[in-house]
Amino acid sequence: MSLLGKKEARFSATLLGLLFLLCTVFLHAQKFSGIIHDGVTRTRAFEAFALAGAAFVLAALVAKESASIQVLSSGNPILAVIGRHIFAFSMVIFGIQHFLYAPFIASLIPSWMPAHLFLAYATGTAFIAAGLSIATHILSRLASALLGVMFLLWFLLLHTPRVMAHPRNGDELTSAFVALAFSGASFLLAAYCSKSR
Amino acid sequence: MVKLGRIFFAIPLGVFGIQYLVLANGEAAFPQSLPGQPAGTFLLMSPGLSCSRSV
Repeated sequence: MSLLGKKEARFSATLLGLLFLLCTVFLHAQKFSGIIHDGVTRTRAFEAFALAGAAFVLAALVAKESASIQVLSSGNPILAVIGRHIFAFSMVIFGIQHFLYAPFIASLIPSWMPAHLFLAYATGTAFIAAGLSIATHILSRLASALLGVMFLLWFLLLHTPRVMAHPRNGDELTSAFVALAFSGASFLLAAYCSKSR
Repeated sequence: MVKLGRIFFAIPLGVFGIQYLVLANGEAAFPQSLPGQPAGTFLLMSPGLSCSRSV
């Protein structure tokens, strides 16, 4: 509500980033072995981690609306830079996941789309390229924007039909909105990259 | 682009929040609470906590 209404949005975004970061550290990092060896555990951990990064970037983007949080996210870009690298690193991890579990990823692609395995590998390549681009600031605005479009297409073409097919399945709903959140995060990164150069 | 990003970022957060409020009924909703703590102690929004999917 705060992010949509722009009321104390900087404070909210910073707090949200810290919340996701704490969640990653205290809930997910406990299963460090799982993060290393299990793809599902790894995905869960890096989803929260990437959203933390995106929230920090958002905090840097929104207009200065609160003086009370200046210690955390004033004009200095430290949190935003950290957030950008967290997001970029997570995208590279997601990309590697697509190569490690390509057949499973391919099975999620709607049947009416052609070349499932190729799309899985292409998506993985796009993730890694976007992550490296965001981290190095080379064509980072374009990479982030395209990443946002890709996530948005996932939301519309892949997840929404699955949610409609299983309306009472909370996992499908979560997956769909994780994709939408990452779309938003990517567009925020694109805006941040264009302003921070 | 900031506006679009903020809307797409904020709406899912609201959905996750509602999901957690709806599901906040014990261990099933919070399987990863800290050791030694009762389930649901940490009312954190973390997508994927109760999910078994990879995308």
